[in-house]
Amino acid sequence: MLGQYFSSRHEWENQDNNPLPKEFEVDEVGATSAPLLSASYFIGARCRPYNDDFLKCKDENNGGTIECLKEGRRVTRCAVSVLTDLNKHCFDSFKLHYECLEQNNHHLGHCRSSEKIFNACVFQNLKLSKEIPGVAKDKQIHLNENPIYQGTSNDKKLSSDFLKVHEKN
Amino acid sequence: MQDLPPIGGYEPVQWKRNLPSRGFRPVIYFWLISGAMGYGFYRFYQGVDEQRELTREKQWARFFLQPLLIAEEDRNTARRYFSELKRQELVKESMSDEMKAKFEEEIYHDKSKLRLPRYTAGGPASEH
Repeated sequence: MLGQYFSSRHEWENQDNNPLPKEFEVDEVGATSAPLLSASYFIGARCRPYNDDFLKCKDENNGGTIECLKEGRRVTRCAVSVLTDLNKHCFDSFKLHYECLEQNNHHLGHCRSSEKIFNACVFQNLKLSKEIPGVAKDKQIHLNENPIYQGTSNDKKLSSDFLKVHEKN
Repeated sequence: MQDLPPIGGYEPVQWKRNLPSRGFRPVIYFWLISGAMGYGFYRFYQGVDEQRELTREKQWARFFLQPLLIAEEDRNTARRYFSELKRQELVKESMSDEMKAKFEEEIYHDKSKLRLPRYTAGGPASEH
């Protein structure tokens, strides 16, 4: 109504809302940052070939925004498959871990207790393990039992509560 | 009249100096402080190593997610690119031949890269 009188109040209508052509559409990931960070190493473990393929395509095609849509869809589908599996098999511990990350400024080092539970569950069900490239297997930071920087004890408490509840069931 | 000593006599005169204890030998303080500092430095550099590994962990987590985020972003850019092509076709339909020839002239002679639509007219802030 006021748009008639004040040009700054115009509702712009030339916004580009046209959908992507059907053949390029794919189910989007739609996860927020904390679950993605929590799942990142498992996405990396399963989707490394697809990721590398996509980035290689981008590199070879000078950006390759249009050329690499197919590889991009593969990357997205693979990541979605990991997240679906995590939700199916390890939903509780996944949630425990990403909520901890959410509460601790996304510091992975502050959520080791819940991460331990989560990693064990993922390894048991999906056979994916977290491994940081470039470091020896016994020097991996997430396996350090007595780190200097470990944040608050809240995660330890929540994790032990979680274990108690799950041992009863 | 003469002053006399108090009953029971005077207290003994203190002839010896009453100095406080000087503590340990200096060399013991030297080693104690050196030990404390040494331990401090040891823990500090342990912490430095740990911070480096934590950063590495965070960076690799990001590297594993990056293709996924780029793919999503690319799909949005491609959507706008195809939409722009379609819009140009629509605009062309109602043009005279003269205008159309002008419209179809290439803006850039450099064919090595694709020019993607970069700007969008802003919608209402609530939809962003």
